[in-house]
Amino acid sequence: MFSKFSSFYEKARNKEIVAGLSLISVAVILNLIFGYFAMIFAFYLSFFKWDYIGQMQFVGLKNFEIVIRDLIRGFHGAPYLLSPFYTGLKNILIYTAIVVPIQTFLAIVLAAFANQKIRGQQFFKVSYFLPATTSSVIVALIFIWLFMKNGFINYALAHIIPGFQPIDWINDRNYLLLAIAMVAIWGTSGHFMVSFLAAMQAIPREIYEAAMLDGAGPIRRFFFITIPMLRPMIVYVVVMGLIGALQMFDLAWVMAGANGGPGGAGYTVALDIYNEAFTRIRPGVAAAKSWFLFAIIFTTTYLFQKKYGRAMR
Amino acid sequence: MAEVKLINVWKKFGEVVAVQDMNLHIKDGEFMILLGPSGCGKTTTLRMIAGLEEPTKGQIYVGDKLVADPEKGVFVPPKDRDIAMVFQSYALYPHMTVYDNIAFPLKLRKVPKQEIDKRVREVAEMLGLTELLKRKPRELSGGQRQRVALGRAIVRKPQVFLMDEPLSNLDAKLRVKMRAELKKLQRQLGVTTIYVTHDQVEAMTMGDRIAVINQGVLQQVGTPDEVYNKPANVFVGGFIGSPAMNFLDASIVEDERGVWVDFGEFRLKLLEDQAEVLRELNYIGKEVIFGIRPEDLYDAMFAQVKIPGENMVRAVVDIVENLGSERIVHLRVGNITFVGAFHAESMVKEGQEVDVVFDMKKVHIFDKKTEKAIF
Amino acid sequence: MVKVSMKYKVTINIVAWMIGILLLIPLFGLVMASIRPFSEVVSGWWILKNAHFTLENYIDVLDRGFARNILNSIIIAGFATILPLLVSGMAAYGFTSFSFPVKTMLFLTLVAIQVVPQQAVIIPLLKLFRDLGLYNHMYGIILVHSAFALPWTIFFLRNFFMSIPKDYEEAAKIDGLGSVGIYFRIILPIALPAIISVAVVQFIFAWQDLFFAITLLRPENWPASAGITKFVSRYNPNWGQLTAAGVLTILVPLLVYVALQKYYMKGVSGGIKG
Repeated sequence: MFSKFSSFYEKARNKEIVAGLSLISVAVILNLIFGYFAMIFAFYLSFFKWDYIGQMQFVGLKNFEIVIRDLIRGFHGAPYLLSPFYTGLKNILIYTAIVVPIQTFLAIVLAAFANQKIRGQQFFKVSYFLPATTSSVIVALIFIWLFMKNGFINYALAHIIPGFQPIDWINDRNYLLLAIAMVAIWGTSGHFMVSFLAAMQAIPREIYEAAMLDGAGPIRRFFFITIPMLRPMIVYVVVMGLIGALQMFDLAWVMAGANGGPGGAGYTVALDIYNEAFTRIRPGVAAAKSWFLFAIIFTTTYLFQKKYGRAMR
Repeated sequence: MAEVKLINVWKKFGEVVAVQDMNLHIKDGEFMILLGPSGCGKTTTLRMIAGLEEPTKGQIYVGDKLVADPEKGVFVPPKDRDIAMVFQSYALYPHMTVYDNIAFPLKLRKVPKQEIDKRVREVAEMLGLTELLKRKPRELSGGQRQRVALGRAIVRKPQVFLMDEPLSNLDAKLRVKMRAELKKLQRQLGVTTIYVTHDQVEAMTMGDRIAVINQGVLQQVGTPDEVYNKPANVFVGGFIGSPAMNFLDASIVEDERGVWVDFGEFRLKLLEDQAEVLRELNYIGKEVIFGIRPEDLYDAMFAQVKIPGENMVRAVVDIVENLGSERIVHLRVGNITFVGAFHAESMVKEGQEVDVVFDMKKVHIFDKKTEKAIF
Repeated sequence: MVKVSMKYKVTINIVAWMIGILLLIPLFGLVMASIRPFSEVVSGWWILKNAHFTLENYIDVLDRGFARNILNSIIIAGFATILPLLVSGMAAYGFTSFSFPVKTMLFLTLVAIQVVPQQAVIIPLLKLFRDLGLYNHMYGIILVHSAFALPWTIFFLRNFFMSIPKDYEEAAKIDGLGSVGIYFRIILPIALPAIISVAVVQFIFAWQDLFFAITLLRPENWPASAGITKFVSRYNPNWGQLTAAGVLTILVPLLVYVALQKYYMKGVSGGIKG
């Protein structure tokens, strides 16, 4: 057998194949285990009831039934305690709808500023990205404390808006999700800004000059040249943003607590899955719910990419 | 009247002087070439006319309007100068179709949609782009893109066209074809055109006048004939014409027979009118630079007037380059080397000797220090 | 440099600086609060009159075992950066310079997995780790981080490698270098900015992860991102200590970014052209 292999190996073409395959082998194996195998096992698990210790009990579609009942209950207005998944889903969708567009837009604007050749350009490049180097946990903490009833934000707003009553952002169910969204935007825009900055710098200067000669002022240039030419990057940022936003866990856990804060205002799908797996000890249900989450992420990014992205490969 | 005037224009980048005291007057409807080697300041000059750079000193007029005068604080932005520019890289908007690219300047000026459509199609027709209107730049060949860039410039009907080496990205054959097309187009439209290039062939074939620039200084402005036949200095003489003009060090001597150019190893007799000029300007006995173009050197077999010792010299052939239409011959007399462009049927062979005839009417003498032409 | 009007320049300057300062206020606040005694923090850290500055918060925090947390963060994030870099560097090279059957398909499967959320895989991973004895072990979490880094790092590095002109590789081949030599002496040096970008991003990402930390490790092995929660309590936390721990947690990634920022920018630009 070995002699067969070595004669196979003689041909240079086959040498290349062996080399290529071996180079990617580790990556592929790891990917298979931690990605595909895990997903498949999770899918398998979603048909069982288990408590981590004993045997797994086959329950068919019961776990999925639990999820769907939850959704129906929630849709008909049940309180959050009876329909946590629905609450989490509703919240995360609202959250994503707020965060992704704003963070993308802000990242473009920041990149545009950082791209200007003005004094302190270095300062911008560093300071705009700095928030992104912080952990989401820290970010969450900073903001809890800025958002406290007697915190800085209320203090500043009181000075700017006349007659402003301090909002208890953390404990007021109407504002908690918004506060979390603001925190997320602060923390991630810088990261995407760098991608946009790089893309902007790849736009040849002469195109802007041609536009200048054709009669376009700075704002027109931004909307007619910069943004259209950033399109592939915009698609990438939105897709990555969607993936990240839909599975947001850290901020909610820190700012709203494992139970999602007042009335579950800060409850997210990721939080629910965590509770399902570790608090309520129903890993089967957790697996089912995580497949739901996966389906949502996959569908939204696929649809978006299909509609707006041209071949990125 | 779409004239362009540069008056005492300087451009400095920090300590570096890119353009030095440039005075240039481009006439209405003229095809003016800015010619020079890389880094000589021709593109900077063009960009100052466009408004993409501001002059450090001096005034620039486009049409009758003063568009730049730093001392008076005048600076008219590019979009208000009524000029159009074709960039070396074409700078087409990659995300727009050909139609949109050409329509863009009109759209920005809020020209009504029907008018835009009419003008875009007119221009497309003129440049042979009608079939390509729906394509995007990345689907086009180099020549096609260049025409789109032209279209975008023409459609605005500006007073002045500026072109920055538009042909340099095309392959040789296409370049030759486009040279003629551009020239024809310019005649047809009658728009004042300022064209930057480092290729002297382009300059000679296309320009009404050529402004030769070197290291930020304007060397000479003149028609192709003028800069070819009456170069103002060594630089112009050497830059224009291919193969390049021969430059040899020599001294002027006079004896009872007349005035001679003495190279040490041999000498040549100057014509009477040339002698007069040199006498008058006191060059007798002085060192000069002697210039003659290779095409003004002849294989004695093909020359009509040949006087040994006066306009003919025996030289050794070092190398022969056969171009088909002529032979480029590298010649040597003692330590002095020069190049001749001989008749195609000349039979010279490497290593042999040949009698070389100088067409003394076409001789140029330059002052050794200033390098300026005496004649 | 193209000429722009004075008005434009001034407006842009003002706005840009304002944004920069606005973005930095939270971090500034964090530092301010951490260096003041607790009493001042509660009343309002932005009040600068009669401010006292102290390092007592930091000392308290480190005393309470936070130093161990920081150390754990360094170990986890460090290895979770080096390991995936090694693997994805090799893989990206494989995808770039070699052709073999099903190459495109394998590449797509690798990249497509990015869509999978962390929560979906956590239970299977827990079971796997339990069976392999990797639970509560540094190796376990490092491996997970590395696996999750692979899709995007391979995608990014492959893009960058592809933008390196093939001429270099071919010249090296003629000079006698084999594939290994080409990889280490041609490709890697040229791709250094991209590699550093990937390293910076992955390091920061691994450093600030919370989910895997709390699910795959027990509190005694927690990195800083999770360890900081011991200073959190819903009622009257010690803000001084909390913010001090916060500053310590941000410090390392921040320094990493600032030090490597130049390469980072260059690296990201190169990845675009792919």
